[in-house]
Amino acid sequence: MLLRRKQSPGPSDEELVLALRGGHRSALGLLWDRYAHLLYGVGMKYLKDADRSKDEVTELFAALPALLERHSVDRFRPWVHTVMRNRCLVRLRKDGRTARIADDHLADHLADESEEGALREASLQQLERAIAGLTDAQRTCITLFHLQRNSYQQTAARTGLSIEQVRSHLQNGRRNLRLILLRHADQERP
Amino acid sequence: MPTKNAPEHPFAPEGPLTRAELEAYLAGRLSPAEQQRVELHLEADPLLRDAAEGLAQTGAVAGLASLREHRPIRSRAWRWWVAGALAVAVTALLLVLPTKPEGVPVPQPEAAAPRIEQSELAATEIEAAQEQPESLRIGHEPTALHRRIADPPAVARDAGIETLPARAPVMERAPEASGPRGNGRSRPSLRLLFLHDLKVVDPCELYTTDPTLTLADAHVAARFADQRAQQQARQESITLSYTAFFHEALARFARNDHKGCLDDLRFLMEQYPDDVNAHFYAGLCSYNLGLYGRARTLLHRAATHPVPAFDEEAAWYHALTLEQLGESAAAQEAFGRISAGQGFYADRAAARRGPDPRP
Repeated sequence: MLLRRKQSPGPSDEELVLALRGGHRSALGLLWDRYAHLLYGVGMKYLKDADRSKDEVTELFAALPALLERHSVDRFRPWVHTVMRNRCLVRLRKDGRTARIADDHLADHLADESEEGALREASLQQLERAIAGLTDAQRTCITLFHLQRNSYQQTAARTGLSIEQVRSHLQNGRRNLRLILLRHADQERP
Repeated sequence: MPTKNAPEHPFAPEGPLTRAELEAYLAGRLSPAEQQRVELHLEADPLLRDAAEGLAQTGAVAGLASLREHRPIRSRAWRWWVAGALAVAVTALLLVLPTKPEGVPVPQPEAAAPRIEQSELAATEIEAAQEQPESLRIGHEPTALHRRIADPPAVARDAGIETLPARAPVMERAPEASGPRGNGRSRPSLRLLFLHDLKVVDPCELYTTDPTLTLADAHVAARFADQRAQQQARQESITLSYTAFFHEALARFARNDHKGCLDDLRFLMEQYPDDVNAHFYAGLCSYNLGLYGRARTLLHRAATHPVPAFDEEAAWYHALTLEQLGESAAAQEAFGRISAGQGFYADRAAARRGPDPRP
């Protein structure tokens, strides 16, 4: 019998955080593998500079063990995203640049999570009913992208909208879908 | 365009998104269906959305290559914490290795090559790696040089393991398969096997005896609590021929189980660290798992191994790896060498390289 390899997806982020807190500093390496490139991308979005973005990522990971000692982190992914954005914010403020991003984006982040949860919990029938209540543009974009599996580019080509407009309609459409689903749930409640 | 494996829920992204997929998306290398899969992740994940927006900026992806230099150092102790089962497997391996019967000669490569740094290729690294999308994988192309494409159909393929007569290098028999020997080394006649239609150097070409591998059930170490249990564990270890072991490893490769294949080859390289077959296929697996640094080392070793069985194909995949690592200048140079060699991959290398800038 050959040794058989476990094909599990590996430890979760939260397990790695626990390991790191338990003194297994090498868990930092796995968290780095999962997040460094994404956080660097976040840095690029706000700082627009590769070297400064790399510095921020490196410094964040150097500070991570201590940060995790001080903070209770239920879900690492949104937490580290917020930490990185806040670091960028501080950096921008130090540079004297406008940086009114943190609070708005945190709100967006929470809203996104709430929407996604609500949409994934809904049945397809509930969704179809709710989609009918969207504006024409939102309904078309949601249908083409989510139901018919068209890419942004394909959706844009079929609607005559720009990709940015498609993304905007998708985001607003999902937000409205959530509201409609909540309204329907309220109406159906005895 | 519907995806082949559409998720059950229209708002739920399918599976994890790897870094290579994200980079391929940003580089515009994905099909519409693959794009949509990535975009579904973007829609669902604010971090990914921010990151993609940042990485889409000019020069951002190029900066990623140097980011890896800052990676925190990994401790080997981690394997004991990460996954109990995985650690059990590693422990079992370490425990059964001394059980190889005394007097059985340990095969040695006829020519020494740089040793693979096994401590670097950890099970946890393989475990944490992500399979790349089909469009990014290498080594499975029907026309690849290490695949059997020109053998007579009379050869029964169902047998699984077929020993072909010693021959002049297959690459030199057909005009399109004449690999460049840029380093000037001669290519001696090599006895080859084709396992799952994939080329393997017959172990008799590499070792003085038919090598074997000592194996054990992965679960043995889990109950390894005292000496008696240890003895029992040792009794359960078995020996398998190199060829049979490789046959199973390449079966995993053939069905795109690169983690399984790489784990097999990692085990093999612990006992035969200079094995060119293992270097080559472990290099392909590493690439397909996004472990490009590892792929670079392994493929380089396969390409420069004293047994010149994979020189050209390994050089080709090594060049592709350099490209993935963002080492454009080195990749261009490598493509240039392959192109100049007028061999099997010359046209592809020339196309990758683009027009010759020289007058």
